[in-house]
Amino acid sequence: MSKKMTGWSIVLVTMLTMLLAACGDSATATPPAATTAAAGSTPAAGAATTAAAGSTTAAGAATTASAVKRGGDLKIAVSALPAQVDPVVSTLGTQWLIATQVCEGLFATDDNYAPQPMLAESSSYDPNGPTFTVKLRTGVKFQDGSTMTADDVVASLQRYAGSAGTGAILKGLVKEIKATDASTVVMSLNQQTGIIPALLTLTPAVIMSKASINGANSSTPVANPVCTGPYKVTDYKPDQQAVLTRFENYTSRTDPTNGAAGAKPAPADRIIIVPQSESSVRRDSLLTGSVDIATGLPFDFYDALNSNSAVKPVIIKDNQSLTMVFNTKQGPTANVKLRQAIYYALDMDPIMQAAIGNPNFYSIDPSWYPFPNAIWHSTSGADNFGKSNPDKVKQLLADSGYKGETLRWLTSKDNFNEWYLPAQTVQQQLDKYGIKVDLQLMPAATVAQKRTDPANFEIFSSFLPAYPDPTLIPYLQSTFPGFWTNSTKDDLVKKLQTTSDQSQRVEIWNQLHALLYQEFPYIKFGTEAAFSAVGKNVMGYSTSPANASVFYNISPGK
Amino acid sequence: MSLEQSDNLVVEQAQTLDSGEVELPAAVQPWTTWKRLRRNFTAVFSIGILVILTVCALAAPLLTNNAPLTIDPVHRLRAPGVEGHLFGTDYLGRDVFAIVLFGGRTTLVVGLLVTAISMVIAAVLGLLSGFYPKVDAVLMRVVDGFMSFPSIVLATAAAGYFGPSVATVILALTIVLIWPSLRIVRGSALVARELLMVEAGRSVGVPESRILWKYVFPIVRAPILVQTSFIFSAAVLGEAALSFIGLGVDSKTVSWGSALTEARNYIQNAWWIAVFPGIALVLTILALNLLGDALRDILDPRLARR
Amino acid sequence: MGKYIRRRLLHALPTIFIPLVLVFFLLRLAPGDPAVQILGDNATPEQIAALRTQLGLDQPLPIQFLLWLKGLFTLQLGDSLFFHKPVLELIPAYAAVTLQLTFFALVIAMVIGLSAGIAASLLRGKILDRGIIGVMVFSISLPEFWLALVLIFVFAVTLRWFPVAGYVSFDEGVWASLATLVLPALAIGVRQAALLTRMTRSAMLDVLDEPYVTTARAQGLPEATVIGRYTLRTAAVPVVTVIGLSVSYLLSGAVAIELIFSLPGMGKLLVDAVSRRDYPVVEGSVLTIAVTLVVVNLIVDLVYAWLDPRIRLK
Repeated sequence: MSKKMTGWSIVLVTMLTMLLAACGDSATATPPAATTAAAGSTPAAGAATTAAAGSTTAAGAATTASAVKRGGDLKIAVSALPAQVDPVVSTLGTQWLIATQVCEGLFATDDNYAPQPMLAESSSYDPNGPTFTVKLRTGVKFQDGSTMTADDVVASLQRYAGSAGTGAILKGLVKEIKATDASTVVMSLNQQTGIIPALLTLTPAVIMSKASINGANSSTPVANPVCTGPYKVTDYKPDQQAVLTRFENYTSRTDPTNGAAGAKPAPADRIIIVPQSESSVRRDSLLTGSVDIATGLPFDFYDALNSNSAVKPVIIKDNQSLTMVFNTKQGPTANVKLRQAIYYALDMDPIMQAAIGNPNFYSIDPSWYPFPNAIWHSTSGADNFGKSNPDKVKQLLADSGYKGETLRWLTSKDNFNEWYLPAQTVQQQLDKYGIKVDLQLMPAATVAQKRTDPANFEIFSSFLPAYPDPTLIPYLQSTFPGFWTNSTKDDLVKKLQTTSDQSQRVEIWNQLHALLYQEFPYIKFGTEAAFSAVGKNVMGYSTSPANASVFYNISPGK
Repeated sequence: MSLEQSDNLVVEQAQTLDSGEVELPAAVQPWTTWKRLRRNFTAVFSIGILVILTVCALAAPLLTNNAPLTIDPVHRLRAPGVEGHLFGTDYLGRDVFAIVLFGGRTTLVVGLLVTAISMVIAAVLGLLSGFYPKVDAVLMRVVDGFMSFPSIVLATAAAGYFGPSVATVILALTIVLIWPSLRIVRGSALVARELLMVEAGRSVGVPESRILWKYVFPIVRAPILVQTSFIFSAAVLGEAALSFIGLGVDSKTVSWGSALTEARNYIQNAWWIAVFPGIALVLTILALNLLGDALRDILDPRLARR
Repeated sequence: MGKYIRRRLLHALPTIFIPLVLVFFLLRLAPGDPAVQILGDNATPEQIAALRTQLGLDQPLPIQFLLWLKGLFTLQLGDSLFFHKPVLELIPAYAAVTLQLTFFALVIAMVIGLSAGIAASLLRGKILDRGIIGVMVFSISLPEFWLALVLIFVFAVTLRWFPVAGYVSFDEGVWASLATLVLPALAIGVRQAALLTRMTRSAMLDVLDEPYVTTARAQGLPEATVIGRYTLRTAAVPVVTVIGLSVSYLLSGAVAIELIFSLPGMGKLLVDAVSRRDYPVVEGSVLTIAVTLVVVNLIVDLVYAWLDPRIRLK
């Protein structure tokens, strides 16, 4: 029997070895070769024109002119896939990733954060009423072959209005949404407002076919949403991969591509998105060629990737602001003098350096709106931002009557660079003045839960991206954790919502910004960039923070 | 889950003794054990390593003047030997040498407490279970139930409930590691119960507690001693694995496992962050395992024939 | 035999039940609200409360428990709070991945462990024996996650023989699927192989010293028959124990390995579900694992009985 066993062992081992050898070969094989790409890509594919809304050089579109090669699979490594395709049921931006590729809304954001018409042909705002009317493009096809009508729009928007998060803003603004004919939608408004187009660029406001919604309410996800976008979902396993195949009958716009707006060239035959929670794994997958794009990389990888000729690092500047948010409702931080003292105690550069490392990846910028090209960028109220002022600190601390109470700071290692590292550094800086901070570590989702109760915290970590409209910034709502209530703020926000003249709105926003730098419902440390890397042949990706997750303009270049 | 991974090692012993078919040696006197240990090379070697590690861990503040949690982003990712950092610095500028030393403290504390608490409970329950069949019937069901409980769920729930901390890790590991030891003690107790002197003692009227202490315990002592070393090793491994996943110690506490978590992102450009804590970890576990093997060789001639 | 199996399964019920009940209460008492995790940070308290009602989370704990018990007996394990799919539909895909990994790791462990153990026992005291023991003790002391990192660095990043991470399912290519499992299986299998080597060697040595083996040799039986017919079968008993333990360990999900290699298996499912407070998935997974372990233990005992007629099924 021993001989038999030895014999079998030998057979098994041999088989194993052959297996390994074979696997080794196939593992290095590249995915199916691209079809021969004629230079005839869709005409708009390469254009990098700036859009309206008076911006300076487009921070964005990296599509240099002419032929973006068509064909091939585009493989992307992200840290996690959303639990479902439907974006309406969650307020977490990370849950909208797939819907961004396969669905479209009435409006879309271009690389300068300006809302542009997408499924809408045109729109008009009538202050008498007030009403907002949208004329839809005709002949737009859903991915199941049916044609989009106003009924689909009404069903989708009503569902969006009932959802958590920004949907509630729509609900507050709009009295009723009606389809007056097959391609016209009329919204009767509760108040004057100019922000509807911006609101409708958000991903949860995408248009799905009424048939696929099938009466689902705002918290039940639609199992198989049917949308109008350039790719459709052909396989979806959230912990394994998402496969999106090009929708051949996609009804494209004809204006030039600009981020999420304009024509969508959809050069890749398929987009395959794989979740890899470890950033080093994403990087290694890119380096070994098993993916074409690796997103969300730590900045420490920059040097190694920059010197590697097989890949290109992609820096998305001014992506988001890193912040600490105060409990203004109760506890020691309800006292504005303490908040001011904390502000003056901070040196922002060491904080950002600890968080980000490489100075190329952050800027010390006081503007609530992180994007310098956007009209909302402001510095009003923030003089000498970034340098601590020990005298003022001592003064304010004395005035505030701070008795050395411990401030509980909710944070998480889940967002290691953006939450945890700044919190650590701030804690050390505040310690010098005797301001005691207790860093409480927990999963990020637990932070989100705990901060809903003002008895649980004094401070929590957060980050603030740019929104299509400043009225959408969550910290301005007094129900958002932090619970900032202030009558001047409320007045200004209301004016912001109801004024429609842009230059007047910028004026009002500057006033609000100055108020923020007096009251400090939160403190911003600086603006960080985002960092991804792509294979050397990949083209068409956007470097604007507005559209960094847009994959349908990207070609794998094979 | 590495908790079960270390289970494997200790349960394997449990199974052997559990079947009750093992003859136990006569109670081995402590002095004899020590003499035999001294002569066994492996034992000396491993004890030596452990002593060095303990001394380093205890003397940590003296050996390094960098408090391990000082964040110094200007000096991040420095190579070993540069600027007075013997093992280099990590991605936050923290001194890796300090991390290794202070991490050793965490390891010691967790290991000692987990081993002590779980062994005491296992010994008591095991004796009772082996000696009194009624207790045994109930207890074995409970033990089976706990042993088929995926320990990762316990660890995650504990971390979620109490928040990650040294205490949480100790709690989770203790609960998981009681059962294999319990079965070993029970096995020996089962055999000891049949001993002639126990029967004789009972018939003469010796109180139960004295019987347990004077006759049974010296016999059970040997497997317990062997088991202690393996449990310690399992606790070290378990704490490292839990901290690695993020369910272990909190951020303020330095641990080899948590040091390895972020380290893997830097293997290619800063290998020292992963290598030094890793070596310390492997060395500790190795020493404990070797010690356990040596003890077993010495104390249980039947199992240690070769 | 049938009666034995039935009795074993009956005795196994508390073994399954205890973890389930523990998990149920432990989870729901722990802080962390699934409704918040589902809706995200911008949800208002009213919206969160509405979702909690919809999910049945606002009812008192004992009622939730009774409802859950009822579901358990009718095998209606509910829907995942996170994926909105029935638990019974969700688990098999993850279980399949873990099963594949388990099988692969077990093959590696058995091939290496059994051959090394037998070889070492036959070569007792010689250099090769000592060498094998040395390697074995060292391998047992290697944390799996550490070995995994080393393997990735050497074989995936530097040599590029295998993918760094990720999982490809069988229907997308057998070779590609196996390629994603080689490194994880090795990371786990090496240590399990070491454990198996130790047990095999010690079991073989026990038997080789038995008087009847000496007798058989004295009678002139060829060595192959002595070992094959007389020793292996008896030595197999403790070896089967260790194999059973390995399987138990592997099936509850080698979590660290699954996380490192991005394998969507039971371990990852369980950890993610616990941190997301996806109660139905956690409970369903624990049930699956507990039942599987019971079955595995039963099989191990049956194999015992087959191998060694002295062991009678009690």
